[in-house]
Amino acid sequence: MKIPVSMNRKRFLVFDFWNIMTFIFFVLIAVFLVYPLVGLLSRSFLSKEDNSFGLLSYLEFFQLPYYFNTLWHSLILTVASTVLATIVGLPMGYIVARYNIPGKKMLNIMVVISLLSPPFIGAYAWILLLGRSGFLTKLVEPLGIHFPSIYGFGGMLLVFTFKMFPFIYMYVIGALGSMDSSLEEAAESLGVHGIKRLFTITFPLILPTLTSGVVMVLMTVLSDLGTPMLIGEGYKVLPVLIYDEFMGEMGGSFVMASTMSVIIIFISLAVLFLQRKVIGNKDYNMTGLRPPAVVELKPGSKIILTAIIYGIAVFALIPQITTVVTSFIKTHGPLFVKGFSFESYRYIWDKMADSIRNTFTYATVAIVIMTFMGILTAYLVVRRKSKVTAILDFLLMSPYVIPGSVLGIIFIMAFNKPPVLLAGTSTILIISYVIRKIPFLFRSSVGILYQLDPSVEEASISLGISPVRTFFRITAILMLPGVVSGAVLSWIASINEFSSTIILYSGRTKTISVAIFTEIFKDSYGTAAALGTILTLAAIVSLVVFNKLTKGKGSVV
Amino acid sequence: MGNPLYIEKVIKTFGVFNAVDGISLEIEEGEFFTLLGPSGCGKTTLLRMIAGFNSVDSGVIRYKEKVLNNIPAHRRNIGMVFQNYAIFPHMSVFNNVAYGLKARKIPKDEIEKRVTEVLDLVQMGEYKDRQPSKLSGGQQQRIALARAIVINPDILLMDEPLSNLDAKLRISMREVIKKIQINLNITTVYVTHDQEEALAISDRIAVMNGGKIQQIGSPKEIYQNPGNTFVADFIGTSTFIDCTLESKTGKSSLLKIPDGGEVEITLQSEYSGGAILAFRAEEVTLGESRPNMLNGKIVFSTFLGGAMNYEIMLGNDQVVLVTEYLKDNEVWRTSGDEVSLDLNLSRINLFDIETREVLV
Repeated sequence: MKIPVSMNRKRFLVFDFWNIMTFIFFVLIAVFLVYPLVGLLSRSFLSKEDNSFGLLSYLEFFQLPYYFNTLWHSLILTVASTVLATIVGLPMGYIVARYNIPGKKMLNIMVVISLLSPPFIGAYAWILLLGRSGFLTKLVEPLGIHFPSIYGFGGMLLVFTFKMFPFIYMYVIGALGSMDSSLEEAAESLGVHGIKRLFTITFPLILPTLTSGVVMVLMTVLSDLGTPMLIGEGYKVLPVLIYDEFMGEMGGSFVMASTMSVIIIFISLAVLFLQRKVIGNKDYNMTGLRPPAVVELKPGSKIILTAIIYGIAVFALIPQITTVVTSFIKTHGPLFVKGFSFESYRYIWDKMADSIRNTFTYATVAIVIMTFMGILTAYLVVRRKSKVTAILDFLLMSPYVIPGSVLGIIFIMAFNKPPVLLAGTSTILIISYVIRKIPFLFRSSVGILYQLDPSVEEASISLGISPVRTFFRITAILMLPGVVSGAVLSWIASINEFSSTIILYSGRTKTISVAIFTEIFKDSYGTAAALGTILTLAAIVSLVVFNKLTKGKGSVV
Repeated sequence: MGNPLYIEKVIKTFGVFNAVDGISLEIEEGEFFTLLGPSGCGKTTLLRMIAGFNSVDSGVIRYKEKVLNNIPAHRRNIGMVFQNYAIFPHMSVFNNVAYGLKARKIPKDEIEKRVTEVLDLVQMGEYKDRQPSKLSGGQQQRIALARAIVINPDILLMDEPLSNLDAKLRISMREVIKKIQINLNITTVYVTHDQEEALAISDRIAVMNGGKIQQIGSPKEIYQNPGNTFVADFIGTSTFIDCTLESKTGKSSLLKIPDGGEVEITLQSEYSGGAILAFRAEEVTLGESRPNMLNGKIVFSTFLGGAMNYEIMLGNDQVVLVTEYLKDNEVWRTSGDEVSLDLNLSRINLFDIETREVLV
């Protein structure tokens, strides 16, 4: 029997489910990511005066100290905060993972709670304590003692260090937990031990994981808008300047805002590039069959280390504690008076129920969209590898380098006029959350899919179930645990989202984080604290529910 | 009806490399057919082409009158058992086995009946409601087998189904598989790299290397009359010695072994010149060292329980392996002993030194 050659050829343009999906995702990404980014890039080359094309705006940025200094400020603050967070988080993670520090579970819960709120809540709490009219400032003023100022570089460094070290800590704990003890035992048997073993075996092996944590911290600090807005004051950093220029309160320009946005994206890209250089292809996929044994400390050092570590953990929790306590203090206008009450909660319930409803509605819709997108795109990228899906992979990860405020700006510029008039709608907020957080969900979906053996899908297909139905009945269901852990993180990040929301919200679409901000600027500290408490509580509840659903088997960090 | 599974000149190319390089096969109804070869020989690729997971770049795969080439995997009605079992981890044993039947819209009570039957057949009836994570590897593979045969497939494909099991379980499972296959008379294509397994379980074997078939035959043919040096080397433990052949009158030839004397043998073909002599470790009788024989010195010995393995260094420094069964001859030889190797002439094989094909 003869078969025509063409029948044996693989046909490329088949309108099957996955090709249609690929097409849809490309259209969505083109509209909501590529188009706004191209708009940003072209605008950054415009001239302020006559709209001609050129490098004028870039020249101005690098020549005028007013602009250029903020770049330095941003870089110094980012690097210093990351270094300090690593100095705190790395040893702490190592000690907790390897030594018999009592109450590890408790400690981990404390650390997780301290990272559940947006960074600017930390800044806000420190204002409450050490600000110009903070509790502690007022307390010690009569004694003639003055704390160093919480405003400016030092204050931000404090906030970021204690906000960010938990990330490093969790990454280190995770990496050490998946390391097989035989590696260290092998080194030991070859005569390498102590510090030498630590630096030749242990640290190099956790380095890839550690650098992902470090990069995450770098990106977060570099792009954070809320903290420097609250306590940065004279120490201007790039996101604040971009915001100011864009909002035009100081006679700024869209062009300069665009130029600076491009520059900040460039820095983020450089950070990622540097990480790739350092790590290269070192991906030690370890499955700890036998995690290293916990080492007993001598009583003396055990007491000292335990005290230090719990000290740090409690210190990191101070913002959360302060926020919760403040939310229950009686207020009289902007002033706190003695005694506790639910006044603040009653007030936000009456006046700000909209913001609360908005926050949870937007985050829920965004997370549902992201989950579907994450599962489907991960499948395309992993199981239908091609040049086309490799581009999809790249595009889906690219929002990682776009700061929230920049995303807000490019969305406004792209969608504030017909045919796509979205500015001021809840849709634009939801889309911005999806775009901003999809890298995390996409990555965790890809991660779980790589762990699933394709033969499970093939078994289903060979039993007569078509590939598309197999995807929904087998693959998607098996991916869920991994996807959900990514989704919980993205959900928490979405309810906390501030830096794009502050640019994209309108009166009707205010969210909790924006409301906190406006309350702080109205000196209405009690209500801001109550809103902050609601965010933290929601995050904790999400984690507890997640743990219950996965019976403790799922891990979020 | 003719042969149900018919494969003609199929080619599969990955990049510039032909993983399957023009293979033709015909597999009979109810036959247990094994693709045997080292890793990378293309056996799994060929199996996956039959299953429909790898496309056919050229050639034809036909089942009865139906050309399979462009039929998607899920419409081929082929059962497949995977190396890593590929059990659906989120379904109970029952639901795993019922999965393919549900897709075929079979009434509930019939599903119940057929699943129960097939689970009994693989001796897993009592595990019906278990979750797969609670089962051992051997049990999971029984479930995988049950799941593949319950749909009454036209062909059963098995991709190294035993390679993840321990040695003892491998032997008992291969008996289970063989008995069920005979019982159901199901046409089976089986892939393995384990020659002992292939010999034990197959009706016919195709030995593959480099994407091509080296030899097809029954286990006995493959073992006793290897078609070329690759097959002789891959199946069992063979020793190869360079020798020369001199064609004499009629079917008689003179075999000359360097430092090993001469012997007259019967050969159908007339062949003179360089040749390769192959013999297996257990087809040699050891004796006292004497002139005009293949003599050597024992350099290493291994006790295997029922037998001894000796490494013997010949005069030309070549080391050959010889197995001596202790029940035949309970002699304990030690390193340094001089011995002669007495070849069983009816069991030796001779190959053309150029083409490496067998001389008969």
